[in-house]
Amino acid sequence: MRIAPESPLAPVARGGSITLWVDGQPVVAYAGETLAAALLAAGRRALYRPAGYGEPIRPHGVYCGMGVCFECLVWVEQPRRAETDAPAQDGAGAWLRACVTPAEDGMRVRTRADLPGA
Amino acid sequence: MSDLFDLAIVGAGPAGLAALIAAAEASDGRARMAIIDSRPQPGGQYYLQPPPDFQPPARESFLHHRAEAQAWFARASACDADWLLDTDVWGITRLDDAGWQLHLRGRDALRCLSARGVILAVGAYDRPIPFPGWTLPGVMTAGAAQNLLKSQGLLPGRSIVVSGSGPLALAVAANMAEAGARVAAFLHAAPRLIRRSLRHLPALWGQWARLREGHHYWRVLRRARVPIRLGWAAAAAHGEGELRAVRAVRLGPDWRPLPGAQNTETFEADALIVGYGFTPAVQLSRLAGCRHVFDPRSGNDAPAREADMASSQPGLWIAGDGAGIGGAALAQIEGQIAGIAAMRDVGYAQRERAEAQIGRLRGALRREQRFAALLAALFTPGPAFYTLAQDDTLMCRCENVPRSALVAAAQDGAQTINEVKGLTRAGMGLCQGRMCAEAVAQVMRAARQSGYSPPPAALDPDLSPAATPRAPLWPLTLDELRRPVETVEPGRR
Ligand SMILES: Cc1cc2nc3c(=O)[nH]c(=O)nc-3n(C[C@H](O)[C@H](O)[C@H](O)COP(=O)(O)OP(=O)(O)OC[C@H]3O[C@@H](n4cnc5c(N)ncnc54)[C@H](O)[C@@H]3O)c2cc1C
Ligand code: FES
Repeated sequence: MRIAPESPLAPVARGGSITLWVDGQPVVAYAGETLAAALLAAGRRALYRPAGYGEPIRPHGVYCGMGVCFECLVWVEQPRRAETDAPAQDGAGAWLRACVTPAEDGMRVRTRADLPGA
Repeated sequence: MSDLFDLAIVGAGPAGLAALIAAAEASDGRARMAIIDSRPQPGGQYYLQPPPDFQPPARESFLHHRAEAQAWFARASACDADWLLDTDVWGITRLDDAGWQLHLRGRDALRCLSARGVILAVGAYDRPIPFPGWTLPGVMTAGAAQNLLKSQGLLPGRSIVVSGSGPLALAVAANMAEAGARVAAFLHAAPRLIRRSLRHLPALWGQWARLREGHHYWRVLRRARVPIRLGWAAAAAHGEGELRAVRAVRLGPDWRPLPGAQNTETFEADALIVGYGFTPAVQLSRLAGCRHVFDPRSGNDAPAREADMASSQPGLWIAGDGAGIGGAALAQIEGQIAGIAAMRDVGYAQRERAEAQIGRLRGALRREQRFAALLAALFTPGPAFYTLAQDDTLMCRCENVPRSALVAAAQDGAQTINEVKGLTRAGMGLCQGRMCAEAVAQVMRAARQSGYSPPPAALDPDLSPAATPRAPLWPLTLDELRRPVETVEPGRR
């Protein structure tokens, strides 16, 4: 939830509006926001990633918010930089930490709620 | 070798910035320096600001410390140094002759950099304490909630429970209310706080700014009619796929969750913020081979240091929260001392003058250390708090390892964190044990004390809450490793 402009803690202005594609749906965000902020503001809190060793897949979410825990990994199609070598499920892309990745106009993000078992 | 930096500083938070400025002054601007930070902007945790695309809040607040931050940024950017922002330090190795090589990962390539001296000023992260449901989306740390608010102007939910211990928990609860959320409950875990604080009153002397800030937050919570429970904590997070409710529990004097319906209360919430203090980021100092000691009072593993912030390794100083939790003011003093000491040892500052400068900082240093000791004494969770975790609670989030698997490993004779890691995979995941190390160590200590695993050893170095760290400290991709590594040299950027 973006804080209301009347709060004394609210930024006077956010960056220009940009559009991301989250699981194929358009999500409006603002330049300067991280992917985590854009996803949370859009109410997309549950993120998924492949289970490592046969355990059931569980929903993940932003936990540490500072790049330490890797719980906020999302699949970004053709990003500028990859963060892990986890195998691509389909197409070119990479798992990135949403909390330290700036949102960019036109970025295609997948929360992977479509993974089998999610 | 001319391509060597005189000093490289890792971390551009309060400690790193203060070290940079002090070193520039002590060397009269002659030292060739580099300062490196993962984040795109300087400031670390304390001076975190909204991104350049945003126009920050007009009013000054305790949240941004904007005027103070701007003053530090201005002084730091006037120093002659190479700035490498958006750059992770993922490894550190000793050079044969003298000095260190840092292994860097920038936005577009891997780099490396060599320096005669290194100051680690890497800060801390929220101390993770497992409890049932803590992996549900909607449960996040106080640092996460604060970062989202501070830099992104965002609330983690509409109806929020804050559970924690210490000043940050109070600050975050108040910030959430000020920013327009309904704070469904503020649970402050530290039991018997008032009685225990009285013993430490002298350490509060002189801390007027902090007391004013605390008083402000308290008033915000009262005005917003937030239900406040002292000596309570979140015991479980409930919900299918996302958080819906938080079960709170009253704690006994040793932090043990008390049984019985009268000691339980449930709050509906879509976000739970947890913050029970901090863990110093010791990965780099451990990788560098520095000696570390476990401090039971703060519950943390921290590098051993001399009075001038020198670690046990030559040419390596450690300042700020990364060496033990002490707050921004202490981090700045330690940074200054480390900066001066580094210039003394690489030969740019005259020895007597440097000693005198360090000597003048002693009084302030001691005052802040006393305050840090007070915070540790009052707010560090007791071992019994770790019994919140149940058999099926995931202790290692990355590898989905439940508590029962750790207990089984201890019963099977695993004696060190490394052995548990080998048997259960706890600590082998992407976060490299940052999230589970302390909880695993607690399970091991409990196992030893209860006698089903050999010798009792609260201070056994093998049970310091960290497995042997390995480079890279962050996962690197094969693609990055395939590309050539660029060497960063002074003044070439
Ligand atoms: C989550 C959190 C919230 C806090 N909230 C408050 C508060 O509300 N009020 C208050 O008074 N104090 C607060 N504190 C305490 C205060 O922020 C710290 O004491 C202070 O920031 C410590 O300064 P530092 O320079 O030691 O570390 P930090 O400010 O944490 O700076 C460390 C810097 O090092 C960088 N870094 C770390 N590792 C690497 C690496 N390997 N490679 C590259 N860069 C790296 C980080 O990106 C960071 O910028 C908080 C601390 C934390 C951890
Ligand atoms: S939330 Fe922990 S890495 Fe992003």
